[in-house]
Amino acid sequence: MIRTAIFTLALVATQAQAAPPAQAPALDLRIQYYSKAVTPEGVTREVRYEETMLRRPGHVWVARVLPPQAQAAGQAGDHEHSVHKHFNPVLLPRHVQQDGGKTRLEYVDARSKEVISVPQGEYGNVGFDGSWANAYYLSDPKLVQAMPLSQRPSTVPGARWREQVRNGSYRRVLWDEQRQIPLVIESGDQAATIFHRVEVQPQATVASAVPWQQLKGYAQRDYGDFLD
Amino acid sequence: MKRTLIAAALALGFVNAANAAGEAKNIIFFLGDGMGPSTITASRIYKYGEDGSLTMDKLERTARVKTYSYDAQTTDSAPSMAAYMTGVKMANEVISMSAETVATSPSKDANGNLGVNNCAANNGTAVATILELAKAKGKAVGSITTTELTHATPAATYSHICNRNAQYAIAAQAVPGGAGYNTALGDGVDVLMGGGRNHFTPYNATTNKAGRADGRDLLAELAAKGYTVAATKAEMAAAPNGKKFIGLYSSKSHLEYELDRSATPPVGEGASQPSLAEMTVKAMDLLSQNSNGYFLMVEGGRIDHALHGTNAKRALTDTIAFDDAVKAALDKARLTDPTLANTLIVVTADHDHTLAFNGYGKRGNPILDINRDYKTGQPSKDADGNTYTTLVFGNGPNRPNLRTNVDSAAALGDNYLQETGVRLSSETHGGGDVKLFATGAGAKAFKGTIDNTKVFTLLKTAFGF
Repeated sequence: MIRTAIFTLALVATQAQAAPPAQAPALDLRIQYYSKAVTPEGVTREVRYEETMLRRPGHVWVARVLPPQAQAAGQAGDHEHSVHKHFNPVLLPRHVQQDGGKTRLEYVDARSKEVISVPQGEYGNVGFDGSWANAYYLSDPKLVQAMPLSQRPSTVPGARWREQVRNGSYRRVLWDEQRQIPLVIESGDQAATIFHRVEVQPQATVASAVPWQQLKGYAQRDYGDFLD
Repeated sequence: MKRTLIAAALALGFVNAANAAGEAKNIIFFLGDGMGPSTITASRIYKYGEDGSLTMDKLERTARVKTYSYDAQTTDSAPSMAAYMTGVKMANEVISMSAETVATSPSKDANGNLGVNNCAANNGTAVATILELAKAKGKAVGSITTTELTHATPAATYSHICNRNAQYAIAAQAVPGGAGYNTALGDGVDVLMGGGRNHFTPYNATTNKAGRADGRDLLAELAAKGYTVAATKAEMAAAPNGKKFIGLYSSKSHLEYELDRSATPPVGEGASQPSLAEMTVKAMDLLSQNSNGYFLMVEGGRIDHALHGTNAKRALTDTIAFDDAVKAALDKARLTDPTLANTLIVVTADHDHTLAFNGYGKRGNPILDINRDYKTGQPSKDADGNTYTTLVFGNGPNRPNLRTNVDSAAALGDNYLQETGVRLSSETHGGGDVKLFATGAGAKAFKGTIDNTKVFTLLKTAFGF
C-alpha cells in the first residue's frame, strides 16, 4: 500500500513512458517500507516490510522479502485446497518490462512454473499504475527534478534532498544523482498523523544472473485465467 | 354475488389462457455475471441518478432468485448458470452435468496449458440445456458473451463437462462433427460470440502460446461446416444472414472492459471489438432468420471480473453496457413484435458479490466518490477520522495496512480499488439472492422468491416444451 501511495503521489507521471537515460545504471536494491498512523483515539499503528529490486535496461524485478514460514507455505492454500484459482500478486515476484516503448507487466509463480501476464486494463487490480518511470526509478525523475531543493544536509555524496509542501502534506526525496534513484522518500502530513518512509539500499554489486532469463519451460497464463 | 363469481372465474380463465404454455416463440436470456442487487443500484445511480431507471428496472415482472449450489452456500458461475440452463443443481465448477458429478481439475499439457481434460466417462451424465431443447425443436440458438466463449457461463449453454477449467475440451464440444462434439447441438449452435481464440486454434511457441496442444484449428473446422468466422467488429457487421456464425474478438482471454474498449485510444484489442449491444443486435439479426424462433443467451461477463478486483468503476460501466444491450434487444424485438407477444426477455444474475453501500450519503453525491453527509454535504468520517467511499466490499485485496483518508480524486479514478473488510487476494462471490426481471411472452410466471433451478422450468414452460 505504501508503494501504491508513492505511485499516487507521483500523479501525472503515470503516463510518462520515457526510456531510461543512458546514465541510469543497473542496480540491485533492498527497499524498506515503513508507515505510521496516529488515530484520534490515540492509537499508533505501524507497518514495515521489505522488497528486493533488480533494475536492468528494460527490466525491473521486484520481490517481497518473506519470512521463512511464508516461503514454506507458498501458495499451497490457493492452489491445492481451494476450488478457485486466485493468485496473490503481493507474494509473487513482479516483472515489469519496457519493450519498444510499451510497458508490460507479469508475475512469476516459481512453484507452479507459471508466468502470469497482466493486461493494461487490469493494472489497477494488482496495484500497478502503469508507469515505467515509477517502476524503474521508484519515483519519476522529472517530478523529482521539479521539486525545490531542500536545506536539509545529505550525508551521501552526490545525493541531495528535495522537499515539497502542499495543502498541509509534505514529500521529501533524497535523490542520488549518480545512481538515478531515491535513497529516501518521506511523506506525510504536518499534523503528524500519518508518516511514510521508504529507504533504498543499493547493493555493492549487481547480480549477473537475472531471474527473468530463467523462465524456460514456464507456462504462460493470463490474469483473466484467475477470474471465475 | 353470482355475477362477481362468474366474472372472477372468467378473469381466472383469461389469466390461465394468457399463461398458457408455448406462447414464447423467442427467448432472450440476459445474464449479468455477478450483478447483485447492490451493483444494480450503484449502476443506476452512476448513470441515471437516484430517481432514474436502468432499462432492466423498467421490465414489468420481477423475482428474487436463490443461488446456492449443490455443495456450496456461495456458488461459482458454473453451477449457477447451469441451474438456469438445465434445472439441475450441481457442484461448484461443474458445467451442465448431473448433481453427483465431481469437479475434477484438468491438468497441464506439454505446453503448460490446461489442455488435459480429466473428467472420467463415468463421472456424472450430461443434462439437457434449454439451448439444446430449443435446437431440437427446430429453433435457432445462440450464445454470446464478453468473456472467453469457453468461460463458465456461455459454456453452460452448449457444453457438458465436470470442470469449467477444461476450456480446450469445452471448445471442441461446439464443433459439429469433430472429436468431442456435443451431438445434442444437432447441426451446431447458430451464433457464438465472445473472446479467446487461443482455445480454438493450434499452439504456436511464438504466436499462440496458449493455443491447443492437439494441433486442431477449430475455427477452420467450423468454417468447413459452413460457419462465418469473424475476428473483428467489422467482420461481424459484414457477416451474411443464412449462415451460422462464430465471432471471437480477442486473441486470448476476455474482451476488454467497456471502460477500456471505449477509451481514447481503446486499450488492448478494444478498437476492433464490438459492444455487447452491437453483438446482441447482430445475433438477433442472424437468429431471426429461422421462422421457428430462437433462443439467445447474452452474458455481460466482465461485471464479475471487475467486482473480483473491487474496481467498482469498471463493474458499473460494464453493467451499464449490459443494460444498454437489454435496451437494444427490446428496441429491436419490438420492431417486429411490438407487444412482445412472441418474445420473452429475462434479465438476471448468476450470483451476488460482496459489494456494500455505506450510509449516509447526500443525494447526488457521485456514487464512486467518498461519502458526503446528506445534511452537511461534508465528507463522512470513520471512527479514526478518515474519509471513506460509499461503495466498499466485504472482502478483497484493498485492505490497507494503515487506513488513511481516501482522496476524492483518487476514488473517482479508473483504477481505484474500493476498500474491503477482510483482506483476500481476490474478492469472492456473495451468497445473497439476486434479482430477476422479465417482460414479454410468459413473463408473468416470474415472481416471488424462487430457486435458480425453477428459472429453467419457467423458460421451458414459456417455450411450451
